[in-house]
Amino acid sequence: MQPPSGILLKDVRLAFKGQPVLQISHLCIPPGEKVFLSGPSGSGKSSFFRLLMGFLLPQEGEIHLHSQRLCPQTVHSIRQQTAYLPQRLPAFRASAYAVLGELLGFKANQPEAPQHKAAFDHYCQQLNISASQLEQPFFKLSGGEQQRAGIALALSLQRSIILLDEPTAALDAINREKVAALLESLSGPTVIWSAHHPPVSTQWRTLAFPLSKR
Amino acid sequence: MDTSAYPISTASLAAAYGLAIIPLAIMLYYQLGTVRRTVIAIIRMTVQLAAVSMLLFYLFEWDKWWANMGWALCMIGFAALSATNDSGLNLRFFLPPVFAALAIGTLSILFFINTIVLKLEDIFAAPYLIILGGMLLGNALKGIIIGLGAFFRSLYAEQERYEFGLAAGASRQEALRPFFQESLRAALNPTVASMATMGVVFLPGMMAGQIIGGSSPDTAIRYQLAIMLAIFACIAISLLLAIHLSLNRSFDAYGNIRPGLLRSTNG
Repeated sequence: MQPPSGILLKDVRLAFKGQPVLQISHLCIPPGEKVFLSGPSGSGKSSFFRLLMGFLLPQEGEIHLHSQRLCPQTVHSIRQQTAYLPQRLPAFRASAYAVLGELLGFKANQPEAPQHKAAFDHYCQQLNISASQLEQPFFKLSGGEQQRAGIALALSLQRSIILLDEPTAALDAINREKVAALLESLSGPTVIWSAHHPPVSTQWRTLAFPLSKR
Repeated sequence: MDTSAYPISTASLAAAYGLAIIPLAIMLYYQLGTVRRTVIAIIRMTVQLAAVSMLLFYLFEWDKWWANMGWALCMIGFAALSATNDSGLNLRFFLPPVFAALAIGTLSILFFINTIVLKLEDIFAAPYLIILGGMLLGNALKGIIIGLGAFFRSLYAEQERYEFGLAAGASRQEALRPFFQESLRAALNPTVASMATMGVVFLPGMMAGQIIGGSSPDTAIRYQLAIMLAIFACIAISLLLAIHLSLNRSFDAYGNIRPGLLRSTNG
């Protein structure tokens, strides 16, 4: 049986120093589905994202993304088709524009660099990030500004799977709603995000962490 | 080479040792707690240089290429050990790549200097192989201590940055670029700065030694220029090699950095 072109986890077990963190016997996220991860801190949401990116390796089980089983041979291609915004953003000394330039300079992103740049400008506008903010050193922006710029960077790469780990943690209620509405408006990509404030809309499938009973 | 330098008698040398009393007294007064370590360092320096002078005496007398090469490899071994140790890296992991990097970087530059610049008949001649080699090695060693340490420490400290690159589609090499930049800058900047001030702010030891030893300032300056440029190239090559040769052992098959590359005792 071909795994679906979305995300599939089978019999995945992840533990740190003998302590189980995640146990997923079967989880299927079909292409295009919008998934919200709820749950307290330390319930394994970040580890779940890092597993999907191959930054953490499970002790057991299979992970499939984009119809490919995650393994050393496919990890690079999977990462190239997936956008991931970590909970803690790097303290870039360069501006957000310069960071975008760096990302678009990667060989994999070069062919569609103009489209990515246009998408970035579009998302920045939607999230109310001004040009002057984008020209400042990234680490000097406020936590909320960094997060919004980070979201714009992640979305601008136009990947078919988008993973956002607590992208609204430092945002006020108005901006949280803006981000949720923006993510809801994306048609096509599979979107998975986590937050402590659940979105209002009912179009999100909610996965409650910890997932140990699955 | 002309040996018209004034000889230093043992009694005069003792007077030079007397100079060390000044910093030792200062250390004692300000209670730096480093007197013991300093005295040991001075004793080590004395014993090591005395031993090396004897060794050099025989190597110069003998002047056999394999003996000179053997000693050069020993020096590279000591340098690799010291570089790995002082940069706070895991010895077991980094010793082989650092040794290979120092050997390739130093010897290739040295043979270039000996054949192309100095046009020596015997490129294994002891004064050039061992003395010039030692100068290159000492500087490559400093470069690796600064640069390799900076590379892996910043990679651990800013792991999110590396992963951010990978997640955005970068190859490992592309995601490591900022860390290469940081490391090379840290290792090469001191040499660039010293080239910029050379002759005005300080006269390097080699040149001073040659002039005191009787060489004309013109020859001494030409040697100094050649060696300075050789040092510059040697640091860049050795450091880049040391990083590249360490990379495959430092990441797993998924491109994630392995734990345990830094010595935990080093903070």
